[in-house]
Amino acid sequence: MSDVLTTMAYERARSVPEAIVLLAEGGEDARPISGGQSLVPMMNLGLAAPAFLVDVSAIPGLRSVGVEGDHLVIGAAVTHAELTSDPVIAEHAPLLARAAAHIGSQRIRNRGTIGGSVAHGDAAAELPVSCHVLDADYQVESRAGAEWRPARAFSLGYYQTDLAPGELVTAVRVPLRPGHGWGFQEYSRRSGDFALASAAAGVALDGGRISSVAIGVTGAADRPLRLDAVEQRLTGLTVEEGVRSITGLAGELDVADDPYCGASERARLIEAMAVRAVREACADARRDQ
Amino acid sequence: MTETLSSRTASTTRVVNQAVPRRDSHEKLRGRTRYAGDVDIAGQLHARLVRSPVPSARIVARDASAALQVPGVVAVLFGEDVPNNEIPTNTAGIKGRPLPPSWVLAVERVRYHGEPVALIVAESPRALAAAEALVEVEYDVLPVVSDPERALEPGSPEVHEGGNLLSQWRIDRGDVDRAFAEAPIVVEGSYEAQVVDHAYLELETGIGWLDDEGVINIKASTQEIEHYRRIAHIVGLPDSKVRVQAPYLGGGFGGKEDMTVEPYIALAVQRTGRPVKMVWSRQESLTARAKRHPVRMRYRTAAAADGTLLAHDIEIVSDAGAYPLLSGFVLLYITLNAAGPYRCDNVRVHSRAAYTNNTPGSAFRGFGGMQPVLAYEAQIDRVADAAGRDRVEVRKANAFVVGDRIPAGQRIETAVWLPQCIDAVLEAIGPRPEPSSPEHRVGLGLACNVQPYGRVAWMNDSASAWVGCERDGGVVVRCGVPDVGGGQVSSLAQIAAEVLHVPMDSVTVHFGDSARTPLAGRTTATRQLYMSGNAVLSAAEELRGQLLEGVAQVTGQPVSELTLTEGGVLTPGGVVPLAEVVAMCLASGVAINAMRTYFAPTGEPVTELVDSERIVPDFTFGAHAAYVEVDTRTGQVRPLRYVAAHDVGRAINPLSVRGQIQGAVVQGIGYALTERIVYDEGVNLTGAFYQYAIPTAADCPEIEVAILESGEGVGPFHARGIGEPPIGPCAATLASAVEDAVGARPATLPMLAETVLACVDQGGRA
Repeated sequence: MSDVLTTMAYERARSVPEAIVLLAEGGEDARPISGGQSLVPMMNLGLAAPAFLVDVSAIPGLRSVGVEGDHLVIGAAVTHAELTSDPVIAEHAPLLARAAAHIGSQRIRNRGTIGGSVAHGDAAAELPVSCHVLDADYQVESRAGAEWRPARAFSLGYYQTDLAPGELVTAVRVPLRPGHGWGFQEYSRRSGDFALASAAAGVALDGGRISSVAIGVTGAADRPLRLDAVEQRLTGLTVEEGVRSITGLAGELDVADDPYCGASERARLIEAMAVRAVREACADARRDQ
Repeated sequence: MTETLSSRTASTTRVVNQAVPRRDSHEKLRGRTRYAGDVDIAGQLHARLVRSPVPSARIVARDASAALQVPGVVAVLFGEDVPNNEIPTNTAGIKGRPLPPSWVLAVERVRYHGEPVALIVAESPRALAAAEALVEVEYDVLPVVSDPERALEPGSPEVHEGGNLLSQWRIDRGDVDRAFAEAPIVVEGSYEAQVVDHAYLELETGIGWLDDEGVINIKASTQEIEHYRRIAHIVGLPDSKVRVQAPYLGGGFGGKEDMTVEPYIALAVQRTGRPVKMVWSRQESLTARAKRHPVRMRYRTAAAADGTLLAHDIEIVSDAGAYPLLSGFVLLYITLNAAGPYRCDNVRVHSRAAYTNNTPGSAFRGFGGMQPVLAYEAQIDRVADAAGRDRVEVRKANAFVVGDRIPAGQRIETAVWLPQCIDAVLEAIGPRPEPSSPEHRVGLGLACNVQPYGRVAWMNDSASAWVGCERDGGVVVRCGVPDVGGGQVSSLAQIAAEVLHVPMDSVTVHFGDSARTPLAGRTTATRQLYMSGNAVLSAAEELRGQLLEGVAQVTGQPVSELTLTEGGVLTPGGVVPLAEVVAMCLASGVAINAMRTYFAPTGEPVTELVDSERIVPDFTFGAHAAYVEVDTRTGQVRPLRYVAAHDVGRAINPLSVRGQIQGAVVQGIGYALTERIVYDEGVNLTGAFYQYAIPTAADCPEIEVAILESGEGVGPFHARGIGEPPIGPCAATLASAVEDAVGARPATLPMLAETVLACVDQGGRA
């Protein structure tokens, strides 16, 4: 038996405009819900008590995946399980497929959605850090209209995002980057746990040298962290030089202590994940050449 | 896969020693078993505790008036409302100053985070939740002591008046100092184990009601129905006015050995006269229910040049938390088992349990026999290394043999199949797997243990059982055993079926009822099969004699010409069906039921652990081996393959034995690698399962079980207890495997990344 004892209202929206109206009417107390894999546990733990839930999971337009111009556009209600199995994702955003495979368990992946994950803003989550590395944008809709906001500016802190009451994430778009290789690595104490450290990487190679690289990590800060300085350092190096130059990253990070994982332990884990993600991305890039 | 190695001739039993499906498995798999929390009674109330949010404080004021205004709230009780608010502590054999009581509801002082302060009774869980925040308790926060060694230093804040030493035990056998002075090999080590939770699926739960005899009935998830006496004392009723029933449990592991919900349900029923249900939340369970004792252990071990153990000098400090509960006894078991399954004539152990403002420590599978395994197995490896000898050979050479005395004095009377267990696991573990990358290392670990079964001799333990026949030839067993999930009830049915030559299906077992089944004691201390099994065996044998007597009376055949066989009694004139045998008994004045009580060997309370002839009934020995893979970059330890062997004397049900061993190994892997309760100055930070890393199926390797049967246990059919022993060696096995993989050995549990990475750095093999 949970301790959820608050009375709350629930509406299932059939379209984005309807959802926007419902959210606007609900104001501060309304929250969108899709798979419920983050919000419902928060409610069970007494950390969230929304008075009004607007279910957006059945809105047809939010479940689509397709290429539009230079971007892959993914509906916000696409589930983690679909990310891992959709052939269009596999072709155009394989990093999301690899990252999503690390989320929770199959049961969680069957219900949790990409829009829910990025809006929830868990600093340890797999998809936000991947979106940082992919230079993705999130489509945010409200009564004021629709706009694309860059992922890298969207995360504001632990469970804090650039999303106001009444606003709904409706899509994620990822620039197409043919020829890049991708890697995602994560460490958790046991299978399915929240990651203590993870790393996402994208690499392009030119003649055996790294011509373009993006690396993002979790566990180092209150939001996903792009390692801009490391990226600059790696550009132009060979793969082995690049991997070697990540060594020592642990000492460069400013990681907070927490009761479940000491700062030095976590910094080493982040470094190990970054090394492996870059190595994986390089191997992936070589395969594509 | 299960392998069995048996001594003596092949078993001649039909039901016992056979891998028969447990009678409770099917219903549990289908989700149909009715646990205590599945019972609802029309008109029931709900109860909930208000607990202290701080680990140490004086209670300045309490006010329930606002809470009582909440619609649906029926009553709010404070300590003053409890007829006898003190819960006496069992102190038998614990020397030193008297142990303080614990409190049903704290009145003047709270000593740990989560200590109960008030009890709310209401019409609905919603009203309880609303009222909880409105029970006003004002705390004057006091200094916290959270480190057991600091707690023992002079000047530390006192958890209870008179200092923080709860109890201490000493062994001083032989001439330790001389042995160290003369020994060519001396090895030292410090070891530390953490606080862990039982983490059973079924939370603390129960329901109570008043019956027409004025008896408070409580159906609860408990390992001990005989708490009814304590409960009666608390509510101020005669013992006979409280009845406790324990349906099948969804896990106990020692966590339901002390009372949990029972006294609160009784108080609420007494106050309201209505049925009352209480279910603790996972957060309450993790925050406030008693835990396994964390320990710090310092070992010095002396050995001859060939690795023969000469002496141990051992200092152990255990964190007992805020109240005594069973800490003195757990410390006794830590002390008794500190030197492990090895002969050693010069042993000094000084063990102390200290009060702190942490969650109280109490019983947990292994009960103090477990923590020292980490230490004594590391020490014997160090001895072997220093002697330049094989670790396996040194273990075998030092293993107890029948006739040896344990350091506390008791003589080993039954077979010690430690070498056989070692051989079994090393044979079954198979070839070393290849590491999955150049950054991974694979290691093989081995560890042994000894764990007593049965209660301490001066508890004068006994168990009663009633076995009878129905007129249709069916068999009924009545025995007050709580079945915690280990197959206790099913094994009793097997024993009765074996003796009375009936199929398992025709035996019905009534169990776990303090009013209507003969009392059989608690399901703890790996005692139930041993105690209740012996009681059922003896009652069934008695009944068998009566059945033959009834036939003899009617047919005129001498009893010596009669045998009980499948379907009835075999006479020279043919088989008399059991239903007719029953009729013959009744016609000739022979009872068709028998009740017997099994008494364990008893002994005087001891405080000096040197020449004790009898402390525990007997011992179970075992050996485990495992391959692990260590990720040298992250310190992650992944068990690849695990083999456990124990001499169980005789397996009443090999399937249950295997289940006990596999379950214990999973629990032991969690203890070794990931599980811990995290505190910040007495505040328990671990309030939800997502913070408490129990291994999942995906984290566990294949666990192979080798069942060894020396035929020398003191239980029914020469069985030994197996409930607790197999959790013992896990942490030491995995620590030894990590050492084999990376070149240095973790000495602190759990073996989190930081600890293992330090070993990787130290070992220099990355």
